[in-house]
Amino acid sequence: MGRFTLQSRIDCGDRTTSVALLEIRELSIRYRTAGAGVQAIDGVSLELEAGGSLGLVGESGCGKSTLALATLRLLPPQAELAGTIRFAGQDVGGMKERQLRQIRWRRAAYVPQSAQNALVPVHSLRAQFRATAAAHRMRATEADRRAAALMRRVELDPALLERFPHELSGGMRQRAIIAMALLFEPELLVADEPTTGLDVIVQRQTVNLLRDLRAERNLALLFISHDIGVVAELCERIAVLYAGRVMETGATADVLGSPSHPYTIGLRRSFPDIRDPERPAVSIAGHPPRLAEALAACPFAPRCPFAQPVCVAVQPPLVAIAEGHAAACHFAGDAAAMRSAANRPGLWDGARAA
Amino acid sequence: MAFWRYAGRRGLHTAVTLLLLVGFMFVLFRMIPGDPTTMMLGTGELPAEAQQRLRVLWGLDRPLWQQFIAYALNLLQGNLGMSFYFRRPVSEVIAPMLANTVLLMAPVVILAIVIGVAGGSWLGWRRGGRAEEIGAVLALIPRALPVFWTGIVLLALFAYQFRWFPIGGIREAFFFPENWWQRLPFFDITRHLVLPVATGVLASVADPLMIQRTALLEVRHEDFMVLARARGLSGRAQRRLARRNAILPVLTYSAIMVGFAFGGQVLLEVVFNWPGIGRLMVDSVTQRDYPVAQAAFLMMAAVVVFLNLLVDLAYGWLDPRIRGG
Ligand SMILES: Nc1ncnc2c1ncn2[C@@H]1O[C@H](COP(=O)(O)OP(=O)(O)O)[C@@H](O)[C@H]1O
Ligand code: SF4
Ligand SMILES: [Mg+2]
Repeated sequence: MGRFTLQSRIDCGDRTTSVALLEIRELSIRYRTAGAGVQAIDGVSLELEAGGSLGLVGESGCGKSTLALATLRLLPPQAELAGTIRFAGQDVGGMKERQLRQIRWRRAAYVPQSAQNALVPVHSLRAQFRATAAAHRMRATEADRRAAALMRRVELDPALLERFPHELSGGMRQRAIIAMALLFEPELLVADEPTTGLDVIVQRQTVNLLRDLRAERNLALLFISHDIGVVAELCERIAVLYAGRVMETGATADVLGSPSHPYTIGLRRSFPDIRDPERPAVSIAGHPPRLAEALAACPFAPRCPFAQPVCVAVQPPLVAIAEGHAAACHFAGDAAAMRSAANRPGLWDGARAA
Repeated sequence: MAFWRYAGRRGLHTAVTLLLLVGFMFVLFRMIPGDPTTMMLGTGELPAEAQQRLRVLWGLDRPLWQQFIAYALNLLQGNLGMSFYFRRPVSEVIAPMLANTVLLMAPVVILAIVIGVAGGSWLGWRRGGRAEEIGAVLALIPRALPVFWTGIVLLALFAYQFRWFPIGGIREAFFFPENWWQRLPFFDITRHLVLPVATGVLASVADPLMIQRTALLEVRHEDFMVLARARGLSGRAQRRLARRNAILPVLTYSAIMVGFAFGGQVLLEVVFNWPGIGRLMVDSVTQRDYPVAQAAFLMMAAVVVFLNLLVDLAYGWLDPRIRGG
C-alpha cells in the first residue's frame, strides 16, 4: 500500500529513516501586530504518516487555523515562522513560491474553515474547477471530466457546476470544495473545521464523506475541530492544542480513553458522549488566554481545577505517559486520580486552586 | 437568463425615472415667472392682445396636464421647440453639442475608471510600501485642485509655452496637414481633445483609484483569496482574481461619478472653449433662451440616467449575486 512516488522520494533524499508525510518540528508562529504581537503557535511538534489521520482539537483561538495554514505556507505576511515544516521530506519553510505551487492542491489540498466565502463569489463552480486545473497545467476538458466525476462522488449533481456559490447551500458549498480538493488526487487533505456552522445532519454527512474518501484514496487527513467527538470519529491520532501549545497527544483511543491532561479531561466533558448519553455536557468555565499577553508557565493554570503553585512557576514539559501518548501537565502521572475527581459536581465551573 | 430578467427590470426602472425627470423639468420651467410669450421678448413689451393670440396658438391657455401631454408627445418625436436665440429647432441646435459633450466626457470617464482601477489595484497589492504612499498622494493632489485651475495650468504649459496642443475649441477652421500622420482621420479633433481630457482625468481619477485600492485591500483578506493560494494559482492569476472581485465598489461609484462629471464638464467646456452642451447650457441661461436651456438640462439628466443604466447592467453582468433580488 501507500504511495510509490513517496517511497522513491525518500530513497533519493538524504534521510534513510522512514519519513512522515508531514513533519512539524518545534514550530513557533508569531503574528506581528501593532502591539506586542501574538504568539499563536509555541513550540509545536507533530507528525502525520502517509495515509494517516491526525485530529487537532482545542477551543477557538488556540492556534488551530494558524497551524493548518502554516503547513502550506498560506499565512499572511505578518506571520513569522520558526522551526521546521517538512512535507514528504522537503522543507516547506524554505521553499520559493514556485515550488510551493507544485505542492499546493496537487499533493496537499486545504478545506478552509468557512466554506461560506471560500469560493470565488463571481465565478461559477466550473470556472473555479477550471482555474484550479489551469494553475497546474491541466486542460479544461480534462478538468470538466474530473469535475463531473468528483461532484458525483461527493453526491452533488454535476449540473451544479454551472451555478454560482451564492446559489448553493452551506453544505453543498462544503462538498463542492471537497470535490475540488480531490482534483489532483492529493496525498494530504488539511480540513479546518469543515463541519463548523453546518447543521447536525449535514455535519454527519460531511464526516462520513471524509471517512469514506480517506479509506478509498489513502488520503492523509489533518482534521481540525473544536468538537472532540467529531475528531474521535475520524482520526487515528489526536493532538490537543491550548494557547498554541500541545497539551496532550497520542492515539485517539488512548487520549480519549485515558485523558491525562486536565484540559483534555475538561474538553471531553464539554461535549456529549455517544457511549454515555446520560452524562451532562459541562463546559470549562472561562476562556482561553489572549495570546497577545504573557502566559502562565502552564497556560491552562488559570482555568485548571487541579492547579498548584508549581504550575504558574514551572512550564510543564510534554512527557510520555505511555508508548506514543504524552501530556504536558506536572501531574500527568496522577491522571487516573484527576479523571475520577473530574466527575465531582461543580468542579469545572470556575474552580481555581493555587 | 437571470441576467436578462435583471436587465429588463433595470430598463423598466430607467423608463420610469426618465418619465419622472421629464415631468420634473416641465414643472420646474413652468415655475419661472412669466411664460414664453413674455420671455421671448424679454420684457413683455408685446401688446396684450397679440400676447393672448400667441398663448392660444401655443396652447398656453390650456390646463397644465394637457400641456404636459402635448409636451411629452412632442418630446417623443424629437420635437423640443424652437430656440428663441438661434431661431432654429432646438433639436438641431442641441444635437451636435450633445455629440461634442459625449466625445469629451466618454474618454474622461472611461480613462479615469480604467486608470483608477489599474492604479488602485497596483497600490492595493503593494500595501504598506513607499510606492503606495507616494502614489496615493500623487493621485489625491489634482483632485483637491479646482478643475479650471488645473485646466489653465495645463493650457499655460502645453499650449502657450510648448505649443504642443491647441489653446481650445474642437477643431481648426482651416487645418492644413503637413505630413501623413496629421492627415490621419480625427487627428485634429484628437489634438484638441488631449488637454481637456487630461484635465478631466486628473480631476476625477483619485476617487476610483482610492476606492479600488481600499476594495483590493479588503478582498486580499477574503477566504477565497486564501483558498486561491491554496489551489496553487499563480501570482498573476491571484492578482487578476483580486482585481475582478474588488471592481464592484468602483462600478457603484462610477454611477455617482458620472453625475459629478457633468459639473466638471461645464467647467471643462468653458475653460477649453469646447462647443458642448455644458457651455450651451450656461449661454442659453444668460441669453434667456429658455427652450434650449430646458432641453439642455433634460439631455444632461437623461445622459446621467442612461449611464446609470449602463453601470447597473455592467454590475449585473459582473456580479451574479445582484441578478437575483
Ligand atoms: N492575521 C492575524 N494577525 C494577528 N493575530 C492573528 C491573526 N490570525 C489569527 N490571529 C490570532 O492568533 C490566535 C490563533 O488564531 P487561530 O489560529 O485562528 O485559532 P483557532 O483556529 O484555533 O481559532 C488568536 O489569538 C488570533 O486572534
Ligand atoms: S500543569 Fe498544573 S495547571 Fe497545568 S494542567 Fe497540569 S495541573 Fe493544571
Ligand atoms: Mg480556526
